[in-house]
Amino acid sequence: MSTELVVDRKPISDTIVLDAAVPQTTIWPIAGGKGGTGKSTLTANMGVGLALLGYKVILVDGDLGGADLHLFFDQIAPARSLSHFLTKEASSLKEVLLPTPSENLKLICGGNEMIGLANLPYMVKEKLVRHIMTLDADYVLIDLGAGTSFNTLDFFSLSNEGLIVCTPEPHARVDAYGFIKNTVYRKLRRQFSKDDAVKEAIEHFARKEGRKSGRISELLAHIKNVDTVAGDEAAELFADFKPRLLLNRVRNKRQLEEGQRFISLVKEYLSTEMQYIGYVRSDSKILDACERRRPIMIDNPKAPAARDLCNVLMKGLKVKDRLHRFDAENCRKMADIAKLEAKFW
Amino acid sequence: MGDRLAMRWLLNAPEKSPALDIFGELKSAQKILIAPSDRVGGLFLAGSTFKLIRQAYPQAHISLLVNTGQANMARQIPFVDAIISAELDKPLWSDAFKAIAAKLRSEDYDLAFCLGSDCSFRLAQICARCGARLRVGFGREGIEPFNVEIKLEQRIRYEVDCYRNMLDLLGMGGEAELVWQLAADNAEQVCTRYLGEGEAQVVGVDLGRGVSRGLTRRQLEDIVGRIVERGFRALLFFSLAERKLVNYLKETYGNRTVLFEQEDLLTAAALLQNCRALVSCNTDLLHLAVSLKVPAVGIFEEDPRRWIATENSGVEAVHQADLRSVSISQIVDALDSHLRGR
Repeated sequence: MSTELVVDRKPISDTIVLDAAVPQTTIWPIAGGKGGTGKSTLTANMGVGLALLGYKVILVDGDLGGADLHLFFDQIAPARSLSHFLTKEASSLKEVLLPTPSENLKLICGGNEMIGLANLPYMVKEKLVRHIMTLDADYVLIDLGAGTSFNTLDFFSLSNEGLIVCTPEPHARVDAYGFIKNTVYRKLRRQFSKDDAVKEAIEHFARKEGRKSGRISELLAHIKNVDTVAGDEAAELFADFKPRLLLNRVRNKRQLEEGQRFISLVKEYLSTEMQYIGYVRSDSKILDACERRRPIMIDNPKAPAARDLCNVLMKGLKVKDRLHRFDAENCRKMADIAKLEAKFW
Repeated sequence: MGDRLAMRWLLNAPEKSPALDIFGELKSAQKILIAPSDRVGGLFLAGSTFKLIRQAYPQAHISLLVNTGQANMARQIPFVDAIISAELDKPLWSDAFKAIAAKLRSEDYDLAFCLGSDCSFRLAQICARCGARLRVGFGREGIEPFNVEIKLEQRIRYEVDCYRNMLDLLGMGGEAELVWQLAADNAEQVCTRYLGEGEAQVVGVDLGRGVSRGLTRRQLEDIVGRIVERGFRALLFFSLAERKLVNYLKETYGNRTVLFEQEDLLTAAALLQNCRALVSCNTDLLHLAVSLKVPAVGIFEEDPRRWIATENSGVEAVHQADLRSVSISQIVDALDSHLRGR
């Protein structure tokens, strides 16, 4: 039995087009304000850790003028570096990517040989930023230099979830605080660069209250008084900005508490919600690995510092193991795999 | 005897229920639910059926009921207006199951199609409780979830032909040529991310089992080994259940293997498109490959004529009642014929 349905037929597509989502890239700039806090060491090791977890990782040495990240991968005189890109010898960052013994991990060296690299002109910096944003990897880690130069601040502002590496010493904390404060002002200035009234309010606050103990919440109130919409925009900017704190070279529990106090201070004075992602113990094995020009995750994966790094990745940063080999509670297995990986290094 | 249309309206209807004008109801349906088979490949096999239903009801609001994991893929189908995704494997007595049924009832459908000549008992029960006035599905032994049943002639035949016959019997038949293809830009980015740049010489291996017992670890290891021997990289599609095996293969074959966890069928589709061939048991991935016209070696525990059109030369079917006794040379020969041909 069959009956023909009388319907108003319209042309219907003959094709089902499958549109796969573009794979995401997470960018983590790693900074700290003070020199010698272990930014490069942790960048190299976190890169190795992420690669072990099954992700494609690119490490960018953004410490322009003081680049040394390549030394962790035993590349004393890298064949290609950022300087090749900046002098247009290479047309894209892909061309200056260097392989490492880890299949998933690639490196872009800083290029110390070029004079003046540390002071990039605005347009060149923008070009570099644009190209970094289009790198094809699951994670791009940018190792930034010490200090609060505009280069460093702008690279740090590439992500709202950059990492601040800080050691327990007061000097490091003061510098880290200064770095976040500078980043906050830099973000505000860039956001309102075309709004003269708001810009003036920011500059005025920075010259007066900001130099003493003025709180950013007061500045936000000022901005709101000047322009309600701008006030809301500024509040949104702060709501999105959530840098992470990683404590390095920790020797005792008291120092961890200092870290928590630091986070409260940043919240209170800079209206910035920092997220604590963990700590790495002070461990002489890291220095041994540095001397051998290898990341500790490969050189001595069972060392306390290497285990702490696994914890930072899997618990602090909540990176999932893509291959389901390890669980967050058990870093020993990750160390075993790292040992296997070390055979290729 | 051929396929028949059977009505069960009077069997379960309340007393004094008015007679049902089945073709009148069919004609006036404005809210339609389609539940593709929840067995392997249901979504892909039913592609042309969705199109025919849309052709029959150009103005109607059509919803598609799929498992949560298939929702992203289902959203790409242009013939439906809404996707209802749910965990369809919840037990009948669970709150989740009741919630699905309640949600469907609240939509007040005029017509529901349950596709799949042997979809799960659960899916049939969901359709039975969806509240649609007309519930069309294939007749089943022992249960009567539908009030319009299609009684299939007892012989093995291609699943898609069963759906076509269903629509023919209801007067909605016709030709429905359908092409599945990928949006090029994003697919290229996905491939670059996972497979690297340049023309990849990749053969996909699906480690999943589908509804069968699946291949053994040794069989899969042999297959991957033969692929690597032939100079190809093996792209291993895996899920959480195969994590140990996949890591073992990675350790054994190193960078000659690329691993991809099939969380997202769309990304899997982009990668599949770049494969020279796929080796797979009867799984969703196999049917996705067939839809995308990627050459495939299908390993079947039951008669492959049910799942693959006999005229489809893109699939080499290996059939064995017990998959664990399939010889590797059978699979590799089938694979070789694809690799030589493309």
